[in-house]
Amino acid sequence: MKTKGLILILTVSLFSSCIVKSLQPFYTKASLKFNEKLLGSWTDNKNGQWTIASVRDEFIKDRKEGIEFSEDDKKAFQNYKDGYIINYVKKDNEAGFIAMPFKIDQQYFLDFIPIEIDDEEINSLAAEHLLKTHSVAKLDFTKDDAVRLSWLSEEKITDLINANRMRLKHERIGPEEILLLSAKSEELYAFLEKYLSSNVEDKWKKSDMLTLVNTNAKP
Amino acid sequence: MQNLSLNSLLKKTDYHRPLIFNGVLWSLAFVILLFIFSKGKSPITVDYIYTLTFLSALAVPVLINFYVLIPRFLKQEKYVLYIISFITNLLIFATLSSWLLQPILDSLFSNYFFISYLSKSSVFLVFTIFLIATTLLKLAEDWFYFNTKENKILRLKNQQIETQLSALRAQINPHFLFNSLNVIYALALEKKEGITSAIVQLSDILRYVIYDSDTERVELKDEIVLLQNYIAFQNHRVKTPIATNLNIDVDNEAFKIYPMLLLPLLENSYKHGIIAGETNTPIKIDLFQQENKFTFCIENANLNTKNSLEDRHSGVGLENLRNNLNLVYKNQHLLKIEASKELFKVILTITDEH
Repeated sequence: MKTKGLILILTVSLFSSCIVKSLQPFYTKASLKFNEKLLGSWTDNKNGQWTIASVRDEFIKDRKEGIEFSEDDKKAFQNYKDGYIINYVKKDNEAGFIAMPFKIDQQYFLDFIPIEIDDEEINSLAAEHLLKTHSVAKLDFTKDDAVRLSWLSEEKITDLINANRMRLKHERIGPEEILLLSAKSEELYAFLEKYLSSNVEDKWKKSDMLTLVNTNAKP
Repeated sequence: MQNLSLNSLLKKTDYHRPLIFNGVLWSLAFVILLFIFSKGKSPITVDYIYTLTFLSALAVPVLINFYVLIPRFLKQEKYVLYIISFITNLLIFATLSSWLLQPILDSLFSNYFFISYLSKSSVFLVFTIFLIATTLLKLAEDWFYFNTKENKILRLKNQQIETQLSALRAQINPHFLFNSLNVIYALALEKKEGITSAIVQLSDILRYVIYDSDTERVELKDEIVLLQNYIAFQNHRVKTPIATNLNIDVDNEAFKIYPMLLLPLLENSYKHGIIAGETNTPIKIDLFQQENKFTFCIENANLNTKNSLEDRHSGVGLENLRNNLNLVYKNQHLLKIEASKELFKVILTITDEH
């Protein structure tokens, strides 16, 4: 096998560094805490458009419109009823997420998982290899009614792992050895709890932050 | 007395080595838990810290179990109390550890992240497995030392028996010599012709008694020769024409027997069953051996002299015989003494599987 022939997957990233990906959600059921303040349309500091709606509201609306739900849909609703449906558009590329809000002490977090990706340009075989993973962002409501999302940075977690200061179940996947957390949700939640109170330097990197400004009323 | 002295001797010797036992146990536990906590990968600093802290939490109920519950309840056969206290001990410390271990670790090592380790329910499971496993190990260790102690007792008992036998043999020799010298003295007084051959016979007897019989077992034929020599020697003393009637029916002359068992009986018969020149009833000896069974039957006239069993001076012979039989052929012999007005009869039966 020629090493030169190794295909390097080049991605245009939203952030300069990578965010942490996980197989399991970062929240526990008991920690879920819905906050209405996040609903509405937002624009981020990188010109991305965010439309955030409640899963519960969307479900009720669809039911009123007479849409029939399968058992799988109902099960999914039970799992995500306390979350948001997010539509994110950047440079005409659209993606849908389910974001689950949860609280650790007094701090809000959002667990993201993509549900819809505008994948017309992605090779269908390559698309079969893609796996939807969770990411987590710290959610802060700023004084000027803006919202700041600070994603957990892979760099910080890697530093902790390399310094032998953390045992958190994880894997390294692909030629780029991307970090993929494989720990259970309870463990991920416990990690965030400890990380939040730790004195790790610059633990929420500015490069992995987005500030969302409210642009109009609720949808 | 024998057992008491043995027990007191053994009490002075503590075979338990708690430092070695605990050292090996906790080292093994550390290695096993470290392997589990590091998920089979190379252990890292955080794994060592977690393993050591977890072991410290685990050590308290395990040591309570070892040094309080097992000696006080299990070894005293208070099984219900032991099970109740075992479960209580487990529940208290597993609960405390499941609630306090993580906060203690986080406060002591704030820069370390102890995440993918044991959940609260797993702490209970590991505590249960560990407590049961260490209890079994402790019982195995106790059994090991108990077994060592038992073997030591057996060895000491054997040693005591050997010492006792040597002492008894040492008693026989001067006793026999004393009697024989009396015979020679009597022959010399009477200036008998056979005195020289009597000395040679005595010399043969003494050689056997002193040197050849100093083994655990001798062949039956050697004991027979000894009896024949003794009879010939004694016949110098007694004037009865046929003093002894020796009947031998032996299948295997190489049959092994403890030495010097028969001579005291023969001595006894000569001493109490024959009066030189007066007794017409010969000493009747039947010696029978077949397979593993040996019977020695000796019968003499009862001359109403005190028999050696009660005789203060010469009673050493039969008393020694009894002691030797109890030591060497315990539960394998039968010594039967029949005394009537006319006859005194002793039957010794030995069943030896050697």
